[in-house]
Amino acid sequence: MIRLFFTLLLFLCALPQYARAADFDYSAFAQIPVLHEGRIKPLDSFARLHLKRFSGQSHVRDLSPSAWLAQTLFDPARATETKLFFVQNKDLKMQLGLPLDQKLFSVIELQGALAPTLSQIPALLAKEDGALTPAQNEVLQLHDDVLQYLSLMRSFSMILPLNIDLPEKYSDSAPNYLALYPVQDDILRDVKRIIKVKGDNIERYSKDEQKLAALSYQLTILQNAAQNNQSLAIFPQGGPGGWRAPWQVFAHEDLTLWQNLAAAYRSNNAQHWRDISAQITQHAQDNTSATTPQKLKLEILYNRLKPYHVAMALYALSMLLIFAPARFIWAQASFSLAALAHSAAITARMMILERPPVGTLYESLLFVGLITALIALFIALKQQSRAALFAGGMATLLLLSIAPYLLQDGDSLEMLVAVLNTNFWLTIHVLCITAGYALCILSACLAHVALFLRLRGGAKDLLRKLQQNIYPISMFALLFTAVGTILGGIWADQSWGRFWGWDPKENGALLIVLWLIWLQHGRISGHMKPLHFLIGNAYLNVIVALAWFGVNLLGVGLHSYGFINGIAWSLGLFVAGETLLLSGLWIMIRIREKKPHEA
Amino acid sequence: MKMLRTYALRLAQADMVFWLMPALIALLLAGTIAQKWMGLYAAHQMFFSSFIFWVGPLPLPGGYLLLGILSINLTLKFLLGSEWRWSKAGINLTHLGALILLVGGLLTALTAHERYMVITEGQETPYMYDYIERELSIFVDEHLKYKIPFDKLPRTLSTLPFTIEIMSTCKNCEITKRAETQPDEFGDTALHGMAQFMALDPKPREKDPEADLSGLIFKVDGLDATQDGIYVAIEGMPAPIMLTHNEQIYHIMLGKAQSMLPFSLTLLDFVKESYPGTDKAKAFSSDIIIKDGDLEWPAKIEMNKPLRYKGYTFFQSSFERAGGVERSIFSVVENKGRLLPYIGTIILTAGLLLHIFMILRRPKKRKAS
Repeated sequence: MIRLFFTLLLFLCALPQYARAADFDYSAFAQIPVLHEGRIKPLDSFARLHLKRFSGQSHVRDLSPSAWLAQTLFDPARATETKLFFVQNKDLKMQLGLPLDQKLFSVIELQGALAPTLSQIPALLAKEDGALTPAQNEVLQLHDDVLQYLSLMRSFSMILPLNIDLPEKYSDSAPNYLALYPVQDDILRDVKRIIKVKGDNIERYSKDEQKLAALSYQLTILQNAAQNNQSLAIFPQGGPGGWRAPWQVFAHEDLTLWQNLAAAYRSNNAQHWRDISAQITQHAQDNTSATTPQKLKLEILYNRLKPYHVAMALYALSMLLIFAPARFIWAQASFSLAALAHSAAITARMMILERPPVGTLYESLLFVGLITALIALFIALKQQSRAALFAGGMATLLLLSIAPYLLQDGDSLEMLVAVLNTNFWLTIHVLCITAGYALCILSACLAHVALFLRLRGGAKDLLRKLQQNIYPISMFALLFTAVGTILGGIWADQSWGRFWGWDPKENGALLIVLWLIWLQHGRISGHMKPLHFLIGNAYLNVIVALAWFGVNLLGVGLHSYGFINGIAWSLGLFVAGETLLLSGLWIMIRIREKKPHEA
Repeated sequence: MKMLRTYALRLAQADMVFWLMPALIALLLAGTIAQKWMGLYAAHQMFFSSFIFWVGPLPLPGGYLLLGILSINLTLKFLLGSEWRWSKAGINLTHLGALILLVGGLLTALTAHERYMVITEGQETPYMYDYIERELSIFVDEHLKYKIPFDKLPRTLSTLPFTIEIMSTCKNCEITKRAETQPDEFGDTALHGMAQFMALDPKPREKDPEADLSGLIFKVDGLDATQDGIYVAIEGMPAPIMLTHNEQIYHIMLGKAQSMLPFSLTLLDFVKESYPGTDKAKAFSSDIIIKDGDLEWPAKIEMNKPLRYKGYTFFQSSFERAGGVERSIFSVVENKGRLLPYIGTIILTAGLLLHIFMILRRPKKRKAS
């Protein structure tokens, strides 16, 4: 099968090149709806995801994602030369004979390099996940990516011109598969007759007979390779599950618009391109009720604006403004704008996905970040507290900058597995728990600030105010984590029939609750001095991190939906760092505060 | 009496919680991390469903003990140590809520029973099976006569007209080939059925006890020469072991402990719905008919939407598809403590909210005075 793809590739490469689509307007093209990973999305998102997956980047050279997709679909010859595939592993490059200093490779380059590894694939696939070396993993990934890319590239191969002289009998027909499809059987019959008469030595054929044989061969290859090609489910057919790819519908669906679009692209006609892509967008949107133009536009806007980057920049600005000799109101204003962008981003996601904001680990980080920021902003506005704004801002920045690392293949805005797809409980339980996380993190960051202040001495008023803030925040944290945890139990009872199963994620949530109960009772019973209470609160960061990510590392139980590789080290480092920092602070504060008594 | 009160008051102190929590936290961490290696069930049994567990020669407090002390502390605190003032109402309510949750947990631990049912489309059954317990069942002329829990098998069974002597059992067995050259461990005794080429060796329990393959080897005496001898029984045998005596047919089977619902379920149709264009499941559901005495009516069990009837709760937990036949797997739960967590949560939430409300109001009061 794979060999067949490469053969086909050779054909595609032989196609004439003349397209140059520099100043095209891709905005209508980007809006064409497509079914991908269980959801109707605009081509823009589809292109971005694939581009990110293949190249790890959001642009190739000067091509935007939509421009790249258009090239892939309509000008395969050029697309095969585009440096697209990201190969990082040095061992792998060595093994494949690829230049070590090059990072991106074209499919042509990879095709040659990967061919010798084809024979290893079955053996590699038979191995267990953990048993593969990074290089082996990447080989598999690369093969998979190349196949996926070729399949995408062939999505519209039936309407692209074949690089061939048509025999006289069919010379009136357009030189593409779609036009020749109705007469394909005739062509095959003709060829069989020739073989019967003249045998299979092509040299004995007349010129026209040679053309006929070549045509028949190409049509067959094209058809075989495109069978089951469902990469681009772009034709709405009936119900929500009924979207089909071009090769599934070309026999009965009118592809004229798409043919014109391809022609416009290949003849470099910007005007036609814009008009026809707008027509296709209109046509597709008229033919489906599964999505609305507004939703598609919103998603494209979300893709383009990158609201989290905007929010992060504004949060960072407000952090600078706190220390700048400017009035505090500027920092507050910048922070408010950041929080606004952040909220808008989460709202947009909810509208696009039509579900509550937290369903994946990535989304939980975004949401916890927002809650942390909002509470910090509330305190900062109410009490004019720079410390609260600083603590909240730093925590949010940290959360937002970790978030992208939890996405392995780009943000696909994915749908949820069945067990999680219960909107009511998902909303209540998960939002409660994540709000609890946010409160814990805020409390911990405030405690960090308080500890540093205490180490520095002075600022007694500020310190007292901070401590007064920390107490109710950690009470709120207890409320939300405790209620959230029990609600999780109730959700489990409702959905799976057991209230509490000592599942790692449940235990993680309980861990936070127990820690908070411990702090509160230690404080009340007088066993925990204010300094220890502060340190205990500061350590909440670690407890939350363990509950949030640590349990995923165990990879057991019902909650392993958020399992991620390679996070163990970062988590270990974080826990060790915080432990060191806080014990260091504790010792230094004790030394510092003892001295005056001795003196 | 006074002394008792002194002790009780001591036990009601907040510092009890301060000392208990680190132990509970440590237990929780250990019990969670251990799951990676022991599996959820075994870790659960060792750390959480135990009073004391041993690490080498060292006895450590288990979940029951720690939660028990916590419950005593909470009860005494609530009854003797509560300050019945408006300003403490939040704390008192919170403690009451927590206490109810703990009692609910105890009740669940004592009464909850989880089993499962497998029903093929078009079939009716009242039977459910235990996830963990196995049993040996003996049928006489197709009627179930004896059911013996696997853990309570006696050395010899003499209630039958012939004797069954249990030679060996294993809760999780490795099936090995009985080598012909191997000196026969049973001497001259004849080997029957699978015993002729199969031997059983115990192996470590699976992480998931449901996946264990239990088995036993027994010796039959007191029948005729063609039937006396050694037999092997393993869970999920394709056919039961068959013996005949006085024209009566005895079937012997080993399997998951079976019990009967006071009514029956019929599976009409199982439906799996996927996200468009993918294999990712969006929802599962089963259309069933409940038959109770002379009454019968249709119902639906959906993922996340269980069916509750007569104290049993049925959940769509899984399904099987093989050879064009669909089977629905339901987990069946009986739990008498079901309601308490709901009540506890409401009280606890109200209590904590009230308490936080009080804290936030406090500074203003000071200002006013």
